Amino acid sequence: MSLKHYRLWTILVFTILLVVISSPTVNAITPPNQTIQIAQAVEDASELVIQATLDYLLADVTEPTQQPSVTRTTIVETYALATWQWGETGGQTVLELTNENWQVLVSGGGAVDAATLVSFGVPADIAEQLMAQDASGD
Amino acid sequence: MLTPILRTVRNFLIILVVSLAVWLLPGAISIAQDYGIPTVGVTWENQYGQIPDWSQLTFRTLPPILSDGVFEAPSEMNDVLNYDLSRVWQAGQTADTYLKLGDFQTSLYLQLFNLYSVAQLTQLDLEQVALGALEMVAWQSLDDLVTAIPGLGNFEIGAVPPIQELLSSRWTGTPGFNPQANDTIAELLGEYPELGQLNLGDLGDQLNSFAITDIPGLDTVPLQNFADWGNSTLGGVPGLADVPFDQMPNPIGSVGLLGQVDVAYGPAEQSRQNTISGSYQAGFNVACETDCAHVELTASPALHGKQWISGKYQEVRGGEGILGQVNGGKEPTGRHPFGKVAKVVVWDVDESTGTVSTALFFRICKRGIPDLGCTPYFIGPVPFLSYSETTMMLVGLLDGQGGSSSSASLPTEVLDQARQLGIPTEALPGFISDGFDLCGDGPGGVDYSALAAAFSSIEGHYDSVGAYVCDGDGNCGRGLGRYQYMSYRSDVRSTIRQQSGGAAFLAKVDSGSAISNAEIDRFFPSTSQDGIFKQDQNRNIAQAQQEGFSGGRLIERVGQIHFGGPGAKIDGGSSDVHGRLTLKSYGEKLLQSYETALASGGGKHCAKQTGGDLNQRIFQSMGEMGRFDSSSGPDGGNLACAWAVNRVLANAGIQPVGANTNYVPSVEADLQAGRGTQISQSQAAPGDIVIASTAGHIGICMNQGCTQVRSNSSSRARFTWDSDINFAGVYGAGQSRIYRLKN
Repeated sequence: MSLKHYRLWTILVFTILLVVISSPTVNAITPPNQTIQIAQAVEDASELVIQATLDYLLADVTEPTQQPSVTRTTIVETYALATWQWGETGGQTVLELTNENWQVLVSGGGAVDAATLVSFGVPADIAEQLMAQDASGD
Repeated sequence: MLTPILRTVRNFLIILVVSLAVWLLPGAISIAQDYGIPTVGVTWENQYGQIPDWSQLTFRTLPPILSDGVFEAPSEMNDVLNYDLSRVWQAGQTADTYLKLGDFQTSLYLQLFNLYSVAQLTQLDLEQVALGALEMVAWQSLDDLVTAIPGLGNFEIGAVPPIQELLSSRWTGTPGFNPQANDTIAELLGEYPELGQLNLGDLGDQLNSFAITDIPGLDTVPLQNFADWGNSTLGGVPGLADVPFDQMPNPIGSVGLLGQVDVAYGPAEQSRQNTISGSYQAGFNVACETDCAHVELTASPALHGKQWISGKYQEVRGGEGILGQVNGGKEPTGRHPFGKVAKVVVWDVDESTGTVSTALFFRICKRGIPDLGCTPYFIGPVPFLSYSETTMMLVGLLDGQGGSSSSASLPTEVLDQARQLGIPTEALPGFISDGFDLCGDGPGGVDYSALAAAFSSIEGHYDSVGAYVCDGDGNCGRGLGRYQYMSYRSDVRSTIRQQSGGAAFLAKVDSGSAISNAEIDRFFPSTSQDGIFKQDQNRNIAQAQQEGFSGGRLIERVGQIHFGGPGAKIDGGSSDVHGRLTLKSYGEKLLQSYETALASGGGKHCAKQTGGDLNQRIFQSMGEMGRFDSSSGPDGGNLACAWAVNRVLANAGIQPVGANTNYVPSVEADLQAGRGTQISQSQAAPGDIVIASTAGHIGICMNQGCTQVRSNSSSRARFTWDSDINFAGVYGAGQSRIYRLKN
């Protein structure tokens, strides 16, 4: 069995466990459909971050020979970090939710760090959370 | 020629994705016995262990491979490349029978051997070795041989029996063809150029009726002089399979850490993160999710608790270039304590007995033009050392490169060997031409341009032709061009051979026939002469410095070495055949001319274009580091473009750029804030820094005008992407920005 299959199985097993473990609590406190709404909201936010990132990357670009793709996003409160691959390179874009729109604070090749995030206006505690979550893949 | 090659490469890639490699389940193989690998005891950092005794190990004495396998390349690919990429191996074969010279082009550098040195190392009498035993002879044409072996063209046909036989048997009956035994080969090739295409392989089994020594000089030129040398199996070079690994041009050594086998764990183990195993592409800290048979190590603090996962159960990303797609782009996880020659893989792990076996895996490479890269290490397992709990195993350096890193792209041993054989550095794989032409200072502050002008004042012009002379070693030829480099030098010959008609021209020179200035212009252009000159003078300057010379005396001594060779006696009285100048007077005259050239401006006209000392240091650093692994950079190399550029700067002794040295916008902000100056492309020189219009990528210029840029490749996790200044248009048509570092 390939590593990819193992990962898929692992994700599946953990998802089932999560549902089994968390369902009684969730059911006890909130209506079942709210869980779905929260998940949907997170998914929507991620999609919006991805779209805002791609829009930014391609805004002033004419005739690119390859298209970028966002490989992962991390969102903490109103800040987001999008990691992308574009041809032979990869980079990261930092965004802030302003007036219900994701606005790019900075974007470029390579990897940001917490200090970079802070220098572009991200509060220090959120910057740390973004970096930690991005590193853990959460 | 290039277009069909590219088209075929593309087709090849498509076919590869479908997968033509068949790896016959080596994972099912167990190493059931101790193969008696010779070892030697060492004590490192108060730890005693047994490491391989490379003085006792050869390709022939390595245990036989345990698994069958086949790699079948498309025949059209092989035809275009003139190189058979396909490979078949069967359990029980030894490595010399299925591995080729080309597989080790950038690891052991076997191509630097000549037959004589191999024979000396293995007590082989070449007079008793059949010509047919040298596999590559079968595909050498007469033109190839004349190019590979300086002076061969001067031999009479009758003095080279295999060639005499080839000519008489293949051309008998051809109207007007009536060679005499006392005709020289060069004369014949001059009169009948089509004969140059005759191939020694046409002699078939008759090759075995001749000895290696029946072709004069065949045993003294490096293997890389021969056409398509990389296509020969190791066993196809007499004696090579018996050369100990510690006697190779780039010998295998053992360095790094010894780790004590603390506990051997079977495949029931899961989720291991603290590993030291992986690959050049995936890094050497690849986690294992399931079936994590492994060895847990202890001894030194750096190794305590580290896990070396079994490659029998875990595969990782491997390979590079187009060939990297072979075997699904996968190879067993492991380490490289002995460098790129082979991968060491932990194989069987027996919890009940606390024992572990290891195995070697090899790969297929095709370097040169076109460079197809290397397959993953998937040819194995070849049984290697076995260990039990509490014994020590060699894990190499914990360097992020699997155990045997080297900052220099060309090992010192290789450079020394190449120099002894007269092989130019630029002819070696991994070398980056400096792109400075004659601009800039060399070692010891020597102004190349002024030095070139000084030599020119003595020797001649770019189209000068010297008299036909022979040296004391029997080498005959002419001095060619501005620096009067002799036509029998291997670097001169390989350069000329690259020109269309170059082989025939060399034969003409060897024969002593008159050569015109126009022919020099055509076959040995000024750029080629300057390229050889600069490499040559770098060596001469280094020798003179080692002898203690500096300033004006340094120039004099460089002149003496140029005039009389590396063994020239200091201030000696010897002169050349013309008797005009002695070693001493040549040096004095050179110094006088050099000072005149300096006073008239020397290389100052270059200063604006070369960008100065920082650029040269950066570019020098690129040459030293080569196409280095960036998998230890951010995100396993995926986000390592700025990191990689700053590594090149750090290696050059330059302070990294950027408050965040891993992020392009931060690096560019630093450049704009005073660390650099933005320049135009016409001003750009090697070592300048290039940033994509989107700030999405960063690289370093490799030549004047910056039409070539090297940068990190995420997909390969390596500083190896060579592109144009706009990164092949990946980021659109926007113009990249170029910066020159100021401090």
